[in-house]
Amino acid sequence: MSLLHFTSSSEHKLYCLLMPCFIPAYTSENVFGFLKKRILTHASVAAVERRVTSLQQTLLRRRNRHCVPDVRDIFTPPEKVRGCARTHTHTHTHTLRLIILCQHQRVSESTVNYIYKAETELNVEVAFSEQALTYRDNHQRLKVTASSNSPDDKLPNFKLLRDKTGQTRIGDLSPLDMKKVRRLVLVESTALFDTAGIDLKAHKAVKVKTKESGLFGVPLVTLLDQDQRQAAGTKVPLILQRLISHIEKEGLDTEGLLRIPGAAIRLKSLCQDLESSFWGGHNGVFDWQQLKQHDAASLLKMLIRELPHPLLTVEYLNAFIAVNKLPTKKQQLQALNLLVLLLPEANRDTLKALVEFFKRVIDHQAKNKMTLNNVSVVMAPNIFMFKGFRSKVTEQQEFSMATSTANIVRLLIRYQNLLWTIPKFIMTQVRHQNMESLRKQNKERESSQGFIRVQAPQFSKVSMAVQLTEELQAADVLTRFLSQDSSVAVKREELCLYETGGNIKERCLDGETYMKDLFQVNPTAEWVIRAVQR
Amino acid sequence: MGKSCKVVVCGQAAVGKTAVLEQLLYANHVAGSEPMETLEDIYIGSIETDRGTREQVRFYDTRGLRDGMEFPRHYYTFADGFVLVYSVDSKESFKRMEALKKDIDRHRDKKEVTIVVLGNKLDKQDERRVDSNMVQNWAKNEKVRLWEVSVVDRRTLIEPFVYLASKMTQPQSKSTFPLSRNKNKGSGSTDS
Repeated sequence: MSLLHFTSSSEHKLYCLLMPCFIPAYTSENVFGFLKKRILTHASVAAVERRVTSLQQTLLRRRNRHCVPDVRDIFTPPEKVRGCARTHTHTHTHTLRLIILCQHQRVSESTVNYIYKAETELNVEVAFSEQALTYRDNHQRLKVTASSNSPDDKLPNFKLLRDKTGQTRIGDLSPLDMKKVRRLVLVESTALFDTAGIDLKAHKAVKVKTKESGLFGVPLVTLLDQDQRQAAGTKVPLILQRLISHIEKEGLDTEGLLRIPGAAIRLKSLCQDLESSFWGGHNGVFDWQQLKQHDAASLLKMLIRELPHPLLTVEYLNAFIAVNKLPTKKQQLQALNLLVLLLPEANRDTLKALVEFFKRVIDHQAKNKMTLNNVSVVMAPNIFMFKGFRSKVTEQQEFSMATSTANIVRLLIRYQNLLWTIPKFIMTQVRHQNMESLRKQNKERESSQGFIRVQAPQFSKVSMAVQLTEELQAADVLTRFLSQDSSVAVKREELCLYETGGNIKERCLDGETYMKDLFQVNPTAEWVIRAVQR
Repeated sequence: MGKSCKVVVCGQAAVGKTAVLEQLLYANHVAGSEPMETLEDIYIGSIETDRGTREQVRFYDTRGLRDGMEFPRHYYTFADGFVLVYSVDSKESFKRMEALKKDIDRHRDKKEVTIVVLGNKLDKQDERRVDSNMVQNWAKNEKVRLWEVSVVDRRTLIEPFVYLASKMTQPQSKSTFPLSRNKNKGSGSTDS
């Protein structure tokens, strides 16, 4: 039904999914508590609640003689909702109505203002699902025409609303907070898809025989494991990096790059050569000089296509495809943003490396004639097809999928800079959640007046008190530090001001972060300058 | 980290406290540049003493004092040494420094802390307002060392700070642990 929904046959999977994402954080509280504490939004709570209700139904039906399972005690939904939960569609609309009512009382005044702003401004402060609800509310009687998905329409220049507390890119946060981000994003994305009434069914994990080592047809994680033994800290498979850099070295001006296939016979032997000698060793070294550009491009496509599990993962592949069903480009973008955040790190980093490469190819479109549309159409089948899946799809379906998936690839390439960021409302939710645990530890400290103390333990100027002004940005703090301390041997680009402690574990600050605004969000944080670790 | 001495640098606003430290530690101060107001910066410097040992010193660069402002009292209690700075072209800055010296005496025992006084901006000879002989007499009476320095000439800064570091880390003449003192000396001499 959707990301969080489980049919009776998949009760076991339900536990697996619910356990990691809800139990640790959500046991002692009920979701409504979370709503009050502003950790979850109305729409998210409704989405969770609905799933728990249907879980209860399932459990009741399956073992009605048994005593009540523990999970049920987690949430206490109101009687009304539980009553009509049997027919799913009813609950669906019913609960949503409730939310819309709440919305009108609370959020809508502010939200509506945002919505009526220019359509190309991305508001990241209000939860996406709430924005979507307001939109749906306003457009309920208007029929959305399907034509908005035609490949020829112009992609507007979406801009993020300027966020004074700075943009948070993926990688800026500590793993601990990233875990919380994932949980919250899972709930949020479910809520967002719910607003459009989109039912998602995850693919069943197909058991594919996977090779334990090698290059082609090897799971992404295995590839990275091998690479990390060679070069610690590798985030994108070396073979992929090597192919990309080879293609670029030959020049991106080649007409039909990525579109024109290599020679099939050569590819077969190239594959074998790479498998045996990519790592060198007794089989000799692979002769990159001999590798033709189009062959390299074909190998790149093959590498992605042959992955035993799709790059966008079995769980979320359908969610990615369903993005097309969302009524506006903006919502599609927001959904993609959430889905990118949900991807495992390895998949997310590899996808980023790919879309960055595609962007560079497109930058040469005057010569190579590979426009955004062309690249997307060529690459979409490679990204969205995988071994276990292809056998089940008819050729007809494959064609129709090609157009819709191309649209998604287009969005991924075009808006990559927006998509690889963490929306502010998620950050706010994380902060609220951390604040809760802080309060429990009674760790709140009194804050200083009007200035912050910036520390730089690695340098000879170890501490600096900085007056907070309205205009002071993170980059200014760095400049001021560097202008004085010439003992710093590292380049400025490698240094970053970090926000640590308080209601966040650690966050690498965007240069345009306004320190005073951020200080108000997290008054007990410490501020540390150090080299960026990525 | 180990034990490092804490030195508080204080004086009137815009006498060149930060400049003295920057020039001493990085030799990158340009004379005549706009003064930037400091709130409180901390530097770690390593100074070679006259005994040949290297000592780590934490410098607390404090906010310059202006009219009606009182020097934060917590500085008096935790410092091992003070660098009092005035500017030779400002009588007022000397008076302010004098007052600070009195305050330190009031809070701390003379034997506990080392104080050096720097008369900065020696390069502005023609605008001199504070007489050199007068201040040296004052220093003699107060039993503190006083140097007239200029950030333009980094060499003038070396002596006062070497003296300060040496004095602060000087082993007491009658140490209760004579053995450990010897050990210190032994390892220190290889350094030079």
